[in-house]
Amino acid sequence: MVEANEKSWKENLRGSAHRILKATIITVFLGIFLLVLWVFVVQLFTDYPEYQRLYAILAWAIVFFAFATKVTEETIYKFGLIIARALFLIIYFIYATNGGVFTINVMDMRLTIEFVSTLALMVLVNFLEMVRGVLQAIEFTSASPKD
Amino acid sequence: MWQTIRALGWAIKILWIVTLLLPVTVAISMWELLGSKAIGIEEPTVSFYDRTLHMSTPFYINNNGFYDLSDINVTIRIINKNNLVTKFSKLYANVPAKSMLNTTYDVSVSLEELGEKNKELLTQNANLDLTITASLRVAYAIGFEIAANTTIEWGAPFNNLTISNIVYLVPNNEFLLFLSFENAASFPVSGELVMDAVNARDEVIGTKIQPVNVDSGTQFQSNVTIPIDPSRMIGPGVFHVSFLNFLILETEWS
Repeated sequence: MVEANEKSWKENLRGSAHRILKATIITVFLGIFLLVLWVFVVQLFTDYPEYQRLYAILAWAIVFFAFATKVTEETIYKFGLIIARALFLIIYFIYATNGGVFTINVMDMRLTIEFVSTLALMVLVNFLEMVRGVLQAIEFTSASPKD
Repeated sequence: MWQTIRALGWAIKILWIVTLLLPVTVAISMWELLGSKAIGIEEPTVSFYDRTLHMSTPFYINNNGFYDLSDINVTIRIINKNNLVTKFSKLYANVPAKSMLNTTYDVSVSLEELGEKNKELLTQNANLDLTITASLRVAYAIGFEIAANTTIEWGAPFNNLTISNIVYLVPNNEFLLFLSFENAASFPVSGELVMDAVNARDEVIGTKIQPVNVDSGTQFQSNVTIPIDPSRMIGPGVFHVSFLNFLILETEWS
């Protein structure tokens, strides 16, 4: 009995270590990609530190959720994180895009880009992501063996 | 349940592709539009007839992009010393993808409209603030608006209109005066200047019609005599100078 418990404990530890390693590798690659993108963002928005800050928030959030969802693979928490990520992205997109109206001053001109319909599409996609997360969580719970 | 989750997964993937492709292709279309002389503005023509100032600016939009352009609107606001002089707004027809729009931006402002709000614009040169706003919608989804402020020099058609050297000639019962102005506008001024002598009881006691035909950038100077009804010669009074029945100057005499 004790031997079986010890074996199960070791398997769990090995599984966790494997998941953490996999999550770390994926997150590192994602981080490098976002960092390369950051170089372009800084050049594009040199005079707009506000947008640089918004990009940094998004990048850190993506990195965090990518790591957390991979680490919590095969657990119910993964779906909670998927729902949280979708909810975060909905709030982020609405806030960062000022409700779909983007205004910058270029030379002596003011340029306004209105993309409310595109924003609505982004919100819809994330809402569907949340719905899918809930359904996956229900599916996962119903498929899990009872203790 | 599993089928629903899979269907949702596919729907999310397709929607993400559409969501990301739309702004990218719209940006490429706009780049084509702005970067390859696809929009051109030609020399405006200015004319003055029917008591109205007309300006016509031909322009074209060659839509090389992937999407139709819609809700094309150009608005111009003219402001003089923080007072709105006039506002023009014009909405154009849609420009389908791979087609060209050749049109003009026509603005007309009547002398009355100009004079009611800013009478001094007829007799004094000024620097006017111009706010130009152009907007359009690409793919019926993403709207672009560009606004620019600039200052233009307004040349008054009766710049520095003055009546001087006023003399009342008793034997002839007439006023002799010197009338001068400069046509600083970009269009010729032709018509009749009506000069009324008004007495202290606000009665018109003499009138003179002075034909004028002054080219752009030239000076008008003339001695004018106004015959007066001596029985009603009660001073002090005023001279009213009107152009096309519109009062442009009021000067006192005594």
